[in-house]
Amino acid sequence: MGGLTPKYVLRRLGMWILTIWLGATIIFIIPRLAPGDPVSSMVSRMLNQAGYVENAGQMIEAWRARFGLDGPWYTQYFNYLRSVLTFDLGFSLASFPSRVDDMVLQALPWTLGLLTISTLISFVMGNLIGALMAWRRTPGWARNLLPFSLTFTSIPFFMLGILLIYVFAFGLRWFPPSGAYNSTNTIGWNWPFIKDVIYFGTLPAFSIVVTSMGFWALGMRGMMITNDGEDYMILAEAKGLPPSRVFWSYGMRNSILPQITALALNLGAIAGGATLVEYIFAYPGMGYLLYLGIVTNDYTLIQGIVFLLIMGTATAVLILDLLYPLIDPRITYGKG
Amino acid sequence: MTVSMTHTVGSDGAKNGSDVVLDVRNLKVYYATPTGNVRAVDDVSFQVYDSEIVGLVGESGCGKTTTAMAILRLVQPPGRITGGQILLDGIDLATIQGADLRDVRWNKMALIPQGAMNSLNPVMRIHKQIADAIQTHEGRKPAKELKERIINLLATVGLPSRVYSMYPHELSGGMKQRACIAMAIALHPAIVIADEPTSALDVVVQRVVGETLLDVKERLGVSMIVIGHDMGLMAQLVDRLAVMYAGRMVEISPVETVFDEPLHPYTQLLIESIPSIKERKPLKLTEGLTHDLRNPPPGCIFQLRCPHVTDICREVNPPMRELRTRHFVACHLYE
Amino acid sequence: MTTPLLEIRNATKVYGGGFLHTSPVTVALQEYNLTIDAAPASITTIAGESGSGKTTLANVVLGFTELSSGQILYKGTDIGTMDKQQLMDYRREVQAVFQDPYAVYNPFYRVKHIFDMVINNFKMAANKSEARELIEDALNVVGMRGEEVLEKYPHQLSGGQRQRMMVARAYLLKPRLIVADEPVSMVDASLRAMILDIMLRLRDEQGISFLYITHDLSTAYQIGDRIYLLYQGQTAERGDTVQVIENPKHPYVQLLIDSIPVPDPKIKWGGDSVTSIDDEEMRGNVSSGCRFYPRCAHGMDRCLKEHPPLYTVGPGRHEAACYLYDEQANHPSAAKAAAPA
Ligand SMILES: Nc1ncnc2c1ncn2[C@@H]1O[C@H](COP(=O)(O)OP(=O)(O)OP(=O)(O)O)[C@@H](O)[C@H]1O
Ligand SMILES: Nc1ncnc2c1ncn2[C@@H]1O[C@H](COP(=O)(O)OP(=O)(O)OP(=O)(O)O)[C@@H](O)[C@H]1O
Ligand code: SF4
Ligand SMILES: [Mg+2]
Ligand SMILES: [Mg+2]
Repeated sequence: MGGLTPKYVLRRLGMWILTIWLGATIIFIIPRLAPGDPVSSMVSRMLNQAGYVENAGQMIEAWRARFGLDGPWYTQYFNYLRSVLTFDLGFSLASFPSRVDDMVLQALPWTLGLLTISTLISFVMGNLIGALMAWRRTPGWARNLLPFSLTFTSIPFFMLGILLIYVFAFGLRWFPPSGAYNSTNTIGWNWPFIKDVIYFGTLPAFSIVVTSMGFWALGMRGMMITNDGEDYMILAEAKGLPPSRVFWSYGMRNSILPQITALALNLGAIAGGATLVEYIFAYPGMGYLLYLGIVTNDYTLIQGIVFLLIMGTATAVLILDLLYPLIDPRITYGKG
Repeated sequence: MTVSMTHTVGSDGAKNGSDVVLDVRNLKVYYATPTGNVRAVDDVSFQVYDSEIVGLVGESGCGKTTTAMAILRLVQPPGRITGGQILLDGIDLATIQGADLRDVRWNKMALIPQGAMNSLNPVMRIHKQIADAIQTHEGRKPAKELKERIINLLATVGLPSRVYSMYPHELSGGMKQRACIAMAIALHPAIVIADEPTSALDVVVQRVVGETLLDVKERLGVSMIVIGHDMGLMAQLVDRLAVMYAGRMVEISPVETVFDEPLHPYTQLLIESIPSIKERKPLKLTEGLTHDLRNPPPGCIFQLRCPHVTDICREVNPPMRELRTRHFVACHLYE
Repeated sequence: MTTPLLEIRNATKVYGGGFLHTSPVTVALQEYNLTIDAAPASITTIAGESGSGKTTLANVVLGFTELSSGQILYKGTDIGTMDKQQLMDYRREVQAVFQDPYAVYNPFYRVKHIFDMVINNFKMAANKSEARELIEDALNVVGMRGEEVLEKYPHQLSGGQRQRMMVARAYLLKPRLIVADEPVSMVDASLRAMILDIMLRLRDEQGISFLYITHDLSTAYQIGDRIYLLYQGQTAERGDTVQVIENPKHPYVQLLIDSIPVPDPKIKWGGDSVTSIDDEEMRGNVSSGCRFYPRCAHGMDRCLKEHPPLYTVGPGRHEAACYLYDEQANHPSAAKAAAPA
């Protein structure tokens, strides 16, 4: 039973490593497609744009030493992989001698928090709304009201973000327009700070939830409608089960499975979408950092973030893949 | 409208003096469509007696499933029961609602769905699905008692006890269908309705399932309605045969009698066109199409395809009449 | 001896199991042989339980699926080595009729479109009126008239009409062979008779042969000439239809025929009750020997060692793949043991 065989786990782990390795390799190759050594050319590009780069010479030296940029490509590649394995993402080009790892580590919790919570809320609410919209036994008034909750789905969320800032931050002054906390508070597990985080996080989270909920709702509605026609749903009703039990154990339980797959497949897109939201609300997460990296031509920073995004998505997919056979007994990968 | 005569026969029609379990009177089920009501079941009356199997046959689309679903109160919109009574143990199923209806379900009437892939919830173990039915109606039970009871049920239909903790996809088609039978008899219902229980299975498995049904009937004394289109299977399985055509009942009779001497021209056609492996005979061809179920013609429902049609058939709807002992037919030929 | 119309030689079809495939390997056809003579036209039945490989056989003959190994010869030419022109002829001369008349039609086109497409594809008519004549002729063969159906959409036709249209479409191309995969299992008794009758007429009047695929032995008995009974991708028994059905030899075919419900309430299911046997359990693939062994009441030691070849068991090339009929074997009485009472 439960399809989690060692062979399956190993194969998934293999896929995970392969994805990360491919991602890392692509990141390695792209800057080297241009002539010249990548660090010098990046630095000179920054010089062209900013006119002046602090400690430029020192920086190039530091890089050379680390990667042996004068050596043949395979030595470079080997060194690169080793540093990736140890999570050594190198120095930021724009703010040398800050290390990319440190910058990313500071931003990561914000993004993780914002994304996890808002995706969770959006997934739960979206699926519930979708399921209720599709279910035969939903009371008529609810069925009529539910679609309204999805009106904002068709608005691109940066527009919704701007709208929210305009109305709730500048107009009503209920929420702050940007940032993640008041700098007067000390960061840590103290109540004023937590309250602050919720206060600042509400608008960005809200814009993510409201715009992405529709995606889940529509998917769920489709699944529920298909599911509702299945014989086992009719049989469940014939058994005299109370409607709520039919809804949860037979309807939701069965329809949620494909939605979870969709969630895994969309993690990348969700992370990408959050970039814009963070930018609009100047939320100090990975997305905002990526934006900063792009405007300052900080290639190593971009590299680091992209690599982390790839790894994060791959890991999330791996976890879902490993969980999936446990929730869906029909899936038994590789008998053996 | 002619009042159907079927419900006056309860007394003499009963087999070995047994009682009427289910009494369907003038049942009407219509599907509302933009171009008019589809009269899927139109004034149908019949009874089911204690410990008997009634076979319900007729061509595709004649309203067999709709009749079954109406009895179980599972007609899906746009369908609606627009008239008639469905009496089971003195309760009119056609009108009860809510918790009352849920109480009757499975306790008194159970369903064996078509032997397709999806009659069991694919992500729930077999025992859970059976326990669901038991505990909904009888309340929580000690785990041990429940398990014993479910394993007994599985044994009743000839399934080994390991099926208890298996998922539907781990069972073959025939085993799934037997698990459904086990589930249907879990609460000793008064009546079990099986909608084409074997039509998705091949002959060998079909026989296994058919014999399981017969065995369950013998041992537990439940009454059943078995829907099907395979006349051979009906001959093996049922005690009485009810023939439907285009939403109406045209003939009801003990199965031996109707195979010996089918009276309604449609039943005659059905029985003549059974392919046989005993003799190679020329194919029996018929012409004509069924009318549109939205506008039944006045008079007999079978007039467009009947070889014996006369003027009266086009004007008056023939009532159900008992022509032989316990053999009812709706046809003007025998007046 | 003349070249047969269709010859299948040592055909094997294996599903799954390739690189990156997680599904288990299914051998749907194994070393399968079949011959359809060029003349006279005949109806060859392929029968067997669900999953025995019937549809797979139809698909390889129609070129929808490729064989894993083996050959299909049409009029002596391997369809794998045909050039473009030969392939075109083959596609025209071998037509298909499927089980589900609903699935085949595109719901957005009128019925007429289906016929026009065929005529254009194979450049069969020089002008419109010639095309119309061809279509009308094809519809007449199946007892329909053009004005009745051509302008309608598929959903406006009844199941029987749709299925007859499929036959008419196939007939339009004047094929030599029609592969019919369960053409009547979705229609009811009266329409079934009509379609079977059309098949008989096409055979006798138009000289079209059929590969009639079904799980229903009684319709095969009514119209079939030769019959092949498949069990897990191999022939269990073959011969003249009447011979095989009235006098089955292979234990599997005996079980199959025994299980067909007799349409007579006075004669109950024959033989011993099978309820207690969990026979579906035993359907798993067997690695060596006779694939029916786990379900067989006559199994012998040698059945496990090697797959039995086809032994002659009666007149008219009646053969069964069962060691019970090995005349050379030391058990001369064995053959009697399995003969039906
Ligand atoms: N949702 C619906 N809307 C409109 N008409 C319907 C609907 N469901 C069923 N019908 C019609 O009601 C009639 C009876 O259908 P029903 O399913 O009861 O037939 P059946 O006798 O069970 O047929 P089958 O042997 O094919 O299962 C058919 O003519 C069908 O077209
Ligand atoms: N595309 C496929 N991929 C993998 N396995 C397949 C595929 N098609 C068929 N099979 C398997 O091959 C075997 C033969 O299937 P096939 O469809 O030929 O059976 P059949 O005799 O036509 O059965 P039925 O009577 O149910 O139509 C089955 O075990 C089936 O599961
Ligand atoms: S070969 Fe042996 S196992 Fe196979 S069918 Fe014949 S007797 Fe049975
Ligand atoms: Mg039905
Ligand atoms: Mg098939």
